[in-house]
Amino acid sequence: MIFEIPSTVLFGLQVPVVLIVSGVGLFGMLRGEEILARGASLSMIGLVIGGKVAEDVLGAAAPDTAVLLVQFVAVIFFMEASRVVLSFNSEDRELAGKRDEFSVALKKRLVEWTQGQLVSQARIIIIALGLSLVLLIVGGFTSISVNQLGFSAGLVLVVVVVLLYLVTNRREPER
Amino acid sequence: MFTRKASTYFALATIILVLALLIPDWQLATLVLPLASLFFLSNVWGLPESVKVRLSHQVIPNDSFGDEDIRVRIEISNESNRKLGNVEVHELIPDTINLERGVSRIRTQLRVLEKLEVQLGFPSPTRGHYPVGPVILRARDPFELYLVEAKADSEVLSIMPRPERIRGAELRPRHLGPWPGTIPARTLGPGMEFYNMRGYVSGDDPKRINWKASARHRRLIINETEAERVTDVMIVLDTDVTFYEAAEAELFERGVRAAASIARLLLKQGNRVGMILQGEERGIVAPAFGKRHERNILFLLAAAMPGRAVIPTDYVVALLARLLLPARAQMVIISSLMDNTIVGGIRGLVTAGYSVLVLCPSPRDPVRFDSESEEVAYRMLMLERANTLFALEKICSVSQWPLGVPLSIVLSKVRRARPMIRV
Repeated sequence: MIFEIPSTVLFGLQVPVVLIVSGVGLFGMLRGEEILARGASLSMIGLVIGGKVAEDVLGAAAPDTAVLLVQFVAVIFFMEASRVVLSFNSEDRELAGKRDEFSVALKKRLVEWTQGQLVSQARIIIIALGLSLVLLIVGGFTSISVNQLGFSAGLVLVVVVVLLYLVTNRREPER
Repeated sequence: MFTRKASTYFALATIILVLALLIPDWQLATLVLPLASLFFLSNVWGLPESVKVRLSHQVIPNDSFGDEDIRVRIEISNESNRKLGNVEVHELIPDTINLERGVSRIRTQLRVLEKLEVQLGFPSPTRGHYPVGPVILRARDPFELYLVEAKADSEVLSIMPRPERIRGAELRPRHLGPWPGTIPARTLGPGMEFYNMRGYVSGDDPKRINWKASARHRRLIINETEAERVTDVMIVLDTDVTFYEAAEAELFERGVRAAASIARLLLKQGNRVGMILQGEERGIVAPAFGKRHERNILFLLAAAMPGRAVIPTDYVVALLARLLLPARAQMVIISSLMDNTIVGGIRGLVTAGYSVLVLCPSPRDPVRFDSESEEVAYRMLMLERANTLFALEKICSVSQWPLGVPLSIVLSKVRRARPMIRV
């Protein structure tokens, strides 16, 4: 993913960037440091978006849209899955060495929860990706001119309202 | 409700859209599609619209003398019509408590109508009040974009001081209640102690006939006993032990244990007993009778903490005694005598007719001093304390309680003082 970003954007330092991001992420996962693991994931999201912007600015060849979507969705999935695994590790450490009936039952439930979370996340992310691709194909049938700034801005506003509706529908904000 | 994470994803989507508009690049804008799908799917499939859960927790036992393990039982039931895949239950437990069984943060799934019982266990902590809870249940979708929260209020775990079995001191207050007790009333009545002899009259109990005296006087003579009644007692625990530093905790705990033991003994004997905590933290339990009242007193003692008194002890003692106790009742003051103004307060009480017993736990001498000046300071402190003791011995009963001597022995040696008050 990082190697697809134009070399001028990262000053030709793709390999060190890959090593740093993966190293920080791996270290965070192994040491149970959620901040490091999450930081690596967020930097990956930043690189995906930043790389795409840089490609446009530098006039480089655009990647396949489906590939871009898969990369973006994969980063989100691994970021969320790492959170689940870190939660599992943290509680497993607390339960380690406790042999009583309730601790054993809690450990079993924790394993079930982890499996259930990963499966549910994978299911939702795959369906979300499929839905996005379908919407992309449907969108491809319509031809919209983006030359007029006002029209484009209006379109963005509509999308933001739709997103806001999707976020808040049936739910209130966290207190 | 939606979480902060949902807001963050929303902000990310908006940034992507604005960038896509500015560049302009529709390929970049398509990244919003998976995010929108994620919101939609998490909202619809991730979490039921109406989440119904029942949550309760119970500390067993919620008061203890510190000699048994404590359990926290958490009961959760899912009354929604769908499975809850991501449930987090968090029992807020003080940092000083180390769980031996279970964990304070539980992650689980809850099937439809499933009831889950979780037990956490830990050894009894030291004396004090510990808030356990609130217990919070958070049901979320797999991506934690949406959240439903349930909460059960916190409970208080009280570790009370265990009262020791002690024998009574010779308390002789002038105020006595009408009910039978253990304090000699200087009048005729049912009791254990011999008081008088008189001639037999019809109806007297034949068991009370003094046969030797009857033979001597050639008529039936019976023994009469001194009535024994109850009284009102106020126990004052002076928590100011701050000058002793090294011996502070030990000295203070002895005072607390003594207060608990004396309160239990006096209540068992049928007296009306109250308690005043005097120090940095103050507390009062008004005088009352009974087993339940003993719990109230022990509950107050569980919260006792050492600390310097903000209000002078003599003022508090004199004021509260007059407010809460009838005239000429009994006061028991447990104090390490750091505050020498206490003498004035006690003198005032004795003048007003109260009987006062001062129980004074003696500190352990330090094994070594860090400097000569520290040793001199300690000696001066002890001299000042000895002066206070000397002044008190003139006006009331004072009992010094050295380390290692059982409280029963100390109290059994208490004799009523003959007050010498110069007016």
